[in-house]
Amino acid sequence: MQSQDKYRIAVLAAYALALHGFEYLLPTPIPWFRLGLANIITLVALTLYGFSTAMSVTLIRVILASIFTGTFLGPAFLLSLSGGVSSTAAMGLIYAVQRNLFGPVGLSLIGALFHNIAQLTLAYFLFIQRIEAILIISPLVIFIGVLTGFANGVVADILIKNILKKDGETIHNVTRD
Amino acid sequence: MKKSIKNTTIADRVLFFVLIACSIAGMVIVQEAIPQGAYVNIEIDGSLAYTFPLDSDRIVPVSTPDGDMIIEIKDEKVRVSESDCPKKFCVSQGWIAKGAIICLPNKTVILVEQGMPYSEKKLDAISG
Repeated sequence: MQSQDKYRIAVLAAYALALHGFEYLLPTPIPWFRLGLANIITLVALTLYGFSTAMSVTLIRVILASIFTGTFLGPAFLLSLSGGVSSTAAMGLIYAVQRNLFGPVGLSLIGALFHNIAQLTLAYFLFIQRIEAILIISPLVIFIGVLTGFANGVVADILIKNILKKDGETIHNVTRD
Repeated sequence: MKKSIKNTTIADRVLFFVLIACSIAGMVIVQEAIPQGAYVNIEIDGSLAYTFPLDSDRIVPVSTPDGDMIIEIKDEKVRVSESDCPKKFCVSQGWIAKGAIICLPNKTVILVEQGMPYSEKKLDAISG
């Protein structure tokens, strides 16, 4: 790993951590309502710097955030970790297989969807062994995830375009314009 | 912002509308499929702890190994009025007449169901 990569991961992880922390402070008006702002950074990392950077940023963000909020290795940490890893993996896989099929908005929707699926599945196995209870809340959770995923995708798209405009020459991992 | 929405690929848009349609359809199906309940069953950590008829008003303090909560039954509706879990999603969900309230931190599920689950549980115990 080059030192430039390390620097990049550190900066992106810091941004993701700040957004994660900010989101943690916000009141949640609807149960299961999550903005998933940190996914914006994951998306930027994935499209500009590749999958390994995105996954590193996600892991650093989830682990540090849980240490800061005192939930490390607790149930909330497991939910957060499963959601973060599976959404990053899903977005990375789609992006690796079909780079030009989905833009940031589509990738963000996929990320949000897999985040929710992973958390609901884990909630079923770890906490609530009632499939009816999970099925009742799933559509609402996924619906909210689509809305927030869309908003995050738009923000990520703007961010990626601006970063590319500013220093497009220094980034090599780009095929989209 | 407008430019970003305009720049989405066709796949992005298809995915968005498919997901919206599926989740709304899911919500409608769930609404229709949940039977109007007659009993409130409170499960803590996977096992049934209390059963109350939905049509008698009462306030139940429930203590779980992970935290305490107060469950209120009134006018054929049930809610969690107080809980010491951190996010209090269960409290903000408010009154429900059917379906479920789930409190993950306290590992508690409050289900409004058609019957008492006693016979079902007994069957489960026999079959496995």
